[in-house]
Amino acid sequence: MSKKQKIIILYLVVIDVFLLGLALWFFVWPKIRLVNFALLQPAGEVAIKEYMLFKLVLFLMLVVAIPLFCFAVFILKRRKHEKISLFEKNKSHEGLWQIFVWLVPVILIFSISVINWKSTHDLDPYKPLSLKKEPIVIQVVALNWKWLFIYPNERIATINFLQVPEQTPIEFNLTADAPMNSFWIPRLGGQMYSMAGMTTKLHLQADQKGDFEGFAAEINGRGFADMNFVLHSVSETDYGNWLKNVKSKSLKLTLKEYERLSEEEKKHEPEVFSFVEDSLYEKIMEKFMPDGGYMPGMPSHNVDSLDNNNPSFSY
Amino acid sequence: MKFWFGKLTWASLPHEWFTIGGALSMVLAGLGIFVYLTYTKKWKWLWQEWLTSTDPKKIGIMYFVVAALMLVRGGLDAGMIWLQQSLASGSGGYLTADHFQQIFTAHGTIMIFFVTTGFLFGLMNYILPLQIGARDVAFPLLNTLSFWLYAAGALFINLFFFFGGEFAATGWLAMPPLSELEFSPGVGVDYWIWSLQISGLGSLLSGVNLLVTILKMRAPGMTLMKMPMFVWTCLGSLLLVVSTFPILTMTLLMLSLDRAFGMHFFTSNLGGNPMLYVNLIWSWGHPEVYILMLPAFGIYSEIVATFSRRRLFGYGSLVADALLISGLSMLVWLHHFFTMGAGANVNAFFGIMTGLIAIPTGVQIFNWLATLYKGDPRFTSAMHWFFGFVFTFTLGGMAGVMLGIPGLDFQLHNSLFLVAHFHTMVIGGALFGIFAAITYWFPKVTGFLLNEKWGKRAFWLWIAGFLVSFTPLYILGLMGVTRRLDHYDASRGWQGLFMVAGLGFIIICVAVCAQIWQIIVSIKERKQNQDQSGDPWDGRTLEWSTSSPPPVYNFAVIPEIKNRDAFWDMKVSGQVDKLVSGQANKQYEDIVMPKNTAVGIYISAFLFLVGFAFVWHIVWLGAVGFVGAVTCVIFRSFDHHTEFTIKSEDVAKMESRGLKEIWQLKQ
Repeated sequence: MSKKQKIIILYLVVIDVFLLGLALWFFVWPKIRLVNFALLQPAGEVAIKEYMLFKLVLFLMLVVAIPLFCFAVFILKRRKHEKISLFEKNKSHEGLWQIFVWLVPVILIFSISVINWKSTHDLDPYKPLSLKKEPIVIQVVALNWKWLFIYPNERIATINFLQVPEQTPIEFNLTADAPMNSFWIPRLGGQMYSMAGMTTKLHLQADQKGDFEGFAAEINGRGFADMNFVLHSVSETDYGNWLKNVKSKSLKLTLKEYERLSEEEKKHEPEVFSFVEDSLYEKIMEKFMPDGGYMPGMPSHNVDSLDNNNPSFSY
Repeated sequence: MKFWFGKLTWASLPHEWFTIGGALSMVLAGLGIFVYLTYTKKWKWLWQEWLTSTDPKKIGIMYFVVAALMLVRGGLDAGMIWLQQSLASGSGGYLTADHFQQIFTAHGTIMIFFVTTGFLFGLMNYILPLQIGARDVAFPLLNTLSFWLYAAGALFINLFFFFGGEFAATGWLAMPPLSELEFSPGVGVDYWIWSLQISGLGSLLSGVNLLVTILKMRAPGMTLMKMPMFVWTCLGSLLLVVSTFPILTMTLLMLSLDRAFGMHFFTSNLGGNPMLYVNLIWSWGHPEVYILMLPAFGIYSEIVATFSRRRLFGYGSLVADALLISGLSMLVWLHHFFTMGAGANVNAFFGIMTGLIAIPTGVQIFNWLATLYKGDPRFTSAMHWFFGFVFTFTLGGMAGVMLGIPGLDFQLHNSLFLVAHFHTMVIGGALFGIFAAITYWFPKVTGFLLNEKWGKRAFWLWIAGFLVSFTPLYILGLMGVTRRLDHYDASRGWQGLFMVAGLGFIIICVAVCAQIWQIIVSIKERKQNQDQSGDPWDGRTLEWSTSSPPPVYNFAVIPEIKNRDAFWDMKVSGQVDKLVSGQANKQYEDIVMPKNTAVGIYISAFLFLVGFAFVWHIVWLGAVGFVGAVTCVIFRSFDHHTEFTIKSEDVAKMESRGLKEIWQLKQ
C-alpha cells in the first residue's frame, strides 16, 4: 500500500468516525438520557439490599480482576529483554505459584460464599419483612396476558395495576391460570415465578411514593410483551380514600366473570373490581388439582398452611 | 387421506413471506449444488471420498461445513431479532410477536446444538486421534452415524419452512406448560423436539465413541498424565456428554408423549408437574454449557503452550481444573431457577456451588498467563483470540458470579443482563476458542497457513463488534429490561441502546466477512504460505509430527511416548532427525483401516422419517422409519468385510514421499 492510499484510508476512517459520533449524538443519546436505571435506583427495602449486595460483589471481584487484567497487559507489553525469570532456576517455584493461584480464587470465592449464604437467607422472598407492621396481602394470578391482583382482606381486585400504601410490607401470593410466568417489579425487588396449581410467595415494600413498573419476565406466549403493570405507591390516607372510592363502585368479579376474563386473550387496560367472589384465588388453584384434593408432590391449596413451611413444594 | 398424510394438509405448505423465502433459498441452494455436481460429474467422488467416509478427519471437516452453514442461519436469526428490537419502540417492528418468538427460539437452538456443538465435535474428530497417536476412533461406523444424525437434525430444524411453516415459539428450552399441547397446539414444538432428539442421539453416540477412543486407543507409553491438555478437557466434556445427554433424551421423550399421546408428565393439571421438566432440562442444560466450554479451554491450553514455546505451567492444576469443572457443573443446575420458590437453604447451596466453579476457571487463567510470562510468547492471530478470550471471559465470569448469588439473581434473572452474560461466555469463550483452533490447526488440515494480517483484522472487528453489541445489553439489564420483548413502550427510552447493539451486530457481520476474505486470500496465496514440514508453529503435540494434511492412517508407525508434549520431546531428543534420515524406514507394517460405509446415512435417513412421522402423526411412516433403521443395523452386523489393508510397501511409498519433503526442508 502506498503512502497516498494510506492517507486516503486514514481520512475516510476519521470522517466515518466523525459521522458515526454525530449520528450517535443526535439519534441515540437523547433516547438513552431519558431512561431510568431501575436496578440502580431502588425504591424499596428489598431492592436497596439487593443493590448494596450488587455493589459489594462487584467490588470484591474487581479486586481480583483488575490485577489480572494488569498482568495480562503487562505480558502483552513486555519486550523480551525485559523478561524477568522468576521461576526459571528453581523448580519449586512452580509449587509456590500453584499455591498462590489456588489461594487467591479460593479466598475470593470463600468470602463470596459467606456473603452468598447470609444474603440468601436475609433476602429469602418467603421471609416476612417486618414483624411490627401488618402486611397487605395481595394474591397475584398470572393470566393470558394480564395480571389479576386480588386484595382478599379488602375484597377488591384489580387488573394490570396495583395501589399500595408506602412503607407498608406487601405479601404477594402468586399463582397462574396460564403458562408459568415471573412476577417482577425491578425498583422494589427481585422476581418470583407464578405457576398454575401452586402458590409461591414474595415479600416486597415500597419505601417511597411513586409509580413503579412491573413486568412479566418469563416468556408465556404471544402477548408476553404487553403483560406489564404499574404499582402506585401512595400515602396511607390516599390509599384509604382509594379503597373507599373503589368500594363505592359496583363492578363485581364473580366466578363467571373471571372465566370470561381468563379466556380473553388480548392486551388489557387497567381495571378495578369492587367486589370479588369468595376465595376466588383458592378456586383458581383447585382447577389444577384432581378432584380438588391433595396430591403428593403438589402443594396443598390451603394458603395459610404454607406460612410455616415456606416453599409450596419440597426438595 | 388422514392415514397417508396425518395432520399434513395443503395449508401446511409455505404461504408466508418467511417460509416461502426460506424454502425457496434452500431449494435454490440445493439445486445449485445439484447442477454443479452433475455438471462436473463429481457425484461419485463426493459419495466415495466424503459422504461415506469413515475417516475421522473427513468427518471432522464435514462437521465444520454443516456448522458453518448453520452459523449463517443462526446469524440471520440474530440479525432479525436485532432489527425487530431496534424498530419495535411503541408497537412498531416488522414481525408479529409469534414470529419474533419463533426466531429467537430457533436462534438459541441452532447456535447451541448445531453451531457450537458441531464445530467442537468436528475438532474432536480431527484432532483427538492425532493427539493421542491413534489411527482412527474406536468405532468408525458409529462415528459416521453420529455425524449423519447431527446433519439430519440440522436439516430437520429447517424442515418447518417446507411443511408446517412454524417453529416453536417457546424459548430455546421450551418450558412447559407453554410447550404443552394446550398452549402450543401447532407443530413448532414437535419440530424442536425431534430435531434435538435426532441430533442429540448423534451427540451421545459421538460422546461414547470419543470417550472410548481416549481411554483405550492412546499410543503406547501415553499414560493419562502424559495426555495433551486438549485431550484432558475433551475427556471432561465427553464424560458430561455421556452422563447428561440421556437426561435430555428422556425429558424430550416425556414431553413428546405429553404432546402426542395426551399424557401428563409436565402439564399443570391432572398430576403433571412443569417444575419437574425445569429441573430435568437444566440438569442436562447446565452441563451442556460446560460440554461446549471445556474443549475451548483445552484449545487455549494448546495454543498458549505452543506460542510461548514452553511446557504448560501447572499441568497438574489444569487437569484438576478440567475434572473439577466437569464434576461441579452437574451440581449447579438449580441456579437457572432460583426464582422458582425453593427455600433459602436450597438456593444458597446451589449458589455456593456455582461460585465454586469460578475457582478452577480462575486458576486456569492464572496458569495460562504464567506460562506466557515464563515463556517467549509470539503474538500470532491465534494468540489474539486467546487474549480476547481472557478479557471477555473474565468480564462474563464476573457477571456469572453475580447471577450465581440468589439475592442478585432475583433482580437479574430473565433480564438482558442474563442474555449479555451467556453471550459473553459462549462467544467470548467457546466461539473465540473455535476461531483460535481454526487458525491454529488450519495448516494441519490443508497444508497451508491462514493469512495472519486478515486474521488479526477479523479479530479486532470481532472484539469491537462484540463489545458494541453486548455492553448495551448489560446496561439494558440494569434498567430492568426483560429478555425476549418483541416490542416496548417508546416512553421507556430503551430504543437507543438496542440500536447501539444493532450497530455491534453490523460490525460482527463485517468481521465474519473479513474471516471469509481471510480464507479466500489464503487459498489464493497458498503457494507462498505452504507448510511442507507439517509443523509450522514449532508444535509440541503429536499431531504436528505427521505430514500436513496427515495420511489416511495418521501414523505409519505408532509413536512411543516417553514424555508429556511428546513431539517436542522427540524434537529435543533428536528422534525426529533419525526418522527423517531414514533409519526407522524399514519397520512399516500392514495397516488395517475401516472401509467406507453408507449405513450411517441410511440409518439417519430412516430416523429422520421417524421424526417427521411424529411431527405429523403419520403412523405408517414412523413404522417404516423405525423398521428401516433397525434392519440397517441387522444387515450391517452380517457384513464381516468392513476393513481393508494398506500394504507395508504402499505405506513406505507414501511415507518416503512425505519424509523426503521434510528431509529437503531440513537440509
